[in-house]
Amino acid sequence: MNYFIASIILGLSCLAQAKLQVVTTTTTMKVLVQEVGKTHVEVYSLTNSSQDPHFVEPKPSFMVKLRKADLLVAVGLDLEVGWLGSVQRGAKNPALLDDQSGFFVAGNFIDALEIPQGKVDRAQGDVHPQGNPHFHQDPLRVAKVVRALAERLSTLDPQHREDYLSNANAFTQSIEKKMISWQERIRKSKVKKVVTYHKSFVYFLDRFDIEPVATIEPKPGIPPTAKHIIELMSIMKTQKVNCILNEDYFEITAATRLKKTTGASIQVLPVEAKTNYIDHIESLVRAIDKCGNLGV
Amino acid sequence: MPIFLLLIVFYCIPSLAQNKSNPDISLNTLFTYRTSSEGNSPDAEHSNGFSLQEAELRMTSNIDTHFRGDVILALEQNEGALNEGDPEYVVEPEEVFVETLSLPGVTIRAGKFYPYWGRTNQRHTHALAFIDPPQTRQAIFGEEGFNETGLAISYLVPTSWYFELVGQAFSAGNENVFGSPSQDDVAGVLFVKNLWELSDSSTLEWDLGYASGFDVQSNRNHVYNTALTYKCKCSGGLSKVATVEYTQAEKIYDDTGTQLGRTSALSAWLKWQNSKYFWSQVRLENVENREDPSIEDIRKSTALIAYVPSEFSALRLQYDVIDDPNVNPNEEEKRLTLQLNLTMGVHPAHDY
Repeated sequence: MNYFIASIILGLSCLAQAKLQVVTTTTTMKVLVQEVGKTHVEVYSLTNSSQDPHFVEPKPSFMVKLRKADLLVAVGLDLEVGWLGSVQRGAKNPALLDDQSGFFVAGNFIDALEIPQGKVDRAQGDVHPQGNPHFHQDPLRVAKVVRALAERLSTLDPQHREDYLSNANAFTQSIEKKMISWQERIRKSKVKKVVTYHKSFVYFLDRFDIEPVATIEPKPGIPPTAKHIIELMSIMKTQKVNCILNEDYFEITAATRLKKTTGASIQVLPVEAKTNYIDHIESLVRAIDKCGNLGV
Repeated sequence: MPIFLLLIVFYCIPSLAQNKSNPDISLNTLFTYRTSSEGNSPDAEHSNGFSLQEAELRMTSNIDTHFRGDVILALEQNEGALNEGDPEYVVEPEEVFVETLSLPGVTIRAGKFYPYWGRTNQRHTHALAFIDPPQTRQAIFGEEGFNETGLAISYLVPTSWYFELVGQAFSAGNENVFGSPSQDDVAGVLFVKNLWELSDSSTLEWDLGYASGFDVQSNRNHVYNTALTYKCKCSGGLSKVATVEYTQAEKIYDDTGTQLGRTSALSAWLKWQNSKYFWSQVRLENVENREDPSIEDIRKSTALIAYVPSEFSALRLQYDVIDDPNVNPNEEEKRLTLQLNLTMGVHPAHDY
């Protein structure tokens, strides 16, 4: 009898300590959930940091991960529109469907940039009607997301509400503190204009007052043509742009051609945070630093 | 007339579709140019020249928190047009079904749809690996494939790998295999899908299927299917896919249960992505028919190259060599088909 009672108590205590199972679509979202959830969550990212999240094959193995998850965290703003819906339905876990508390869309908590005006169609390339979805490059927008995430985790796991709110608070404070030095370093670098491959760094550049003069892609999602590269050479020379930010999952051939002609510095940058968000932003600031040190 | 109807529906609804409560709408169109050594002889399966192979209008939406609906209307060439005045094209409901959203662990689908079966049965023509379906589908179930009215219950088994069990029941009307005239005769279909993630970039899928139903003489037939698929996003993110599929239909005609006929088909194909936009593919197939000793085996070899500039358009060139002594005992048919494959609107992701 004693064994029976002991095993019930043990079972209940295990249940009480069960971690929230969270699945994210990108590694950046995984890193943010880990910052807020710490030891109370187990997080799995469906994509790795070197994958372009616009184009992901909806593997059935994703459904296995979602089947028992308590929370699905997506970027939103149509970044995952091509693949996430079929994974959500295939997982047969109603708690993770749209508008349910188990589905957190980070993009719903920020003000998006580059919301297209007028008619949007595919002749314009891979344009997102709800705005540019790469807002995770802006530390202050991410702070907003983190606060909302803490609230959502608290809803799903009220027992650890204090921890979630406190972790989110500590994280946003560390971001705000770092912002001062990041802004100072970028100001000192004197980098005012850059060219990027895709519009992945728009929010970062906007936050730190750097102008994205042009992209190596002629249109979002469309690889560069020779004609476009020649036009870019001219733009870079005219506007004295000496810094090219090339996302790590895009090829570097076009950037290399531009470097040969214009002498600009190429910085190959991760789009997604791998293990630590502040380290990720630090790597972007360091890249701007480097461009500055190379004589911009 | 059916073309105009389809176009009116497609062009009038998009403004409504901007609203979240309206369905996602897409239109797939397949244009082909075809030339064959058979020419345009009366025995030829299809005629040479330019044609609109198919246009497919799809509307899909959540109905409420419990159900999701899918309607696919296909505009196809009217293969049954015999007389002058018969329409050149017909619109047919290819799939019309609802499925549950709110049941944990299971999905119930009801309506007219392609059953969960084999590697390609649920794929629509525009999403097939080649311009035409494999013989494992076509030789067993006919040109239109295995498409029935009934219901399916799929269960995702709680295992560490993807393991889906699907039980299905249909008023089986497929004339090749079932086609019982009695509405009370129901065909049962079991399907099992396994997928293992071998690494971050490669997977192995193993599908198993069994179907049983009554034919026009109300005798029970059995169909078996198995398929193995290896997929890899190898160096440089370029894909390689290898599939082997086998389907066997057994027909029992007498009361003692003696098996009197058997048709089997084996298809194996390889797809490899040469660069961001180009694919090369080959397929080898064999069909054995033991239903009638006078019917000889069919062998088909296919090569295809595809230019795929985006997810929404593709240009594919396919060359087939078909050795079918039953149609042409003297020589192989050689067939060249060029296909323009276009998708407009909001189309759901294809199965992995």
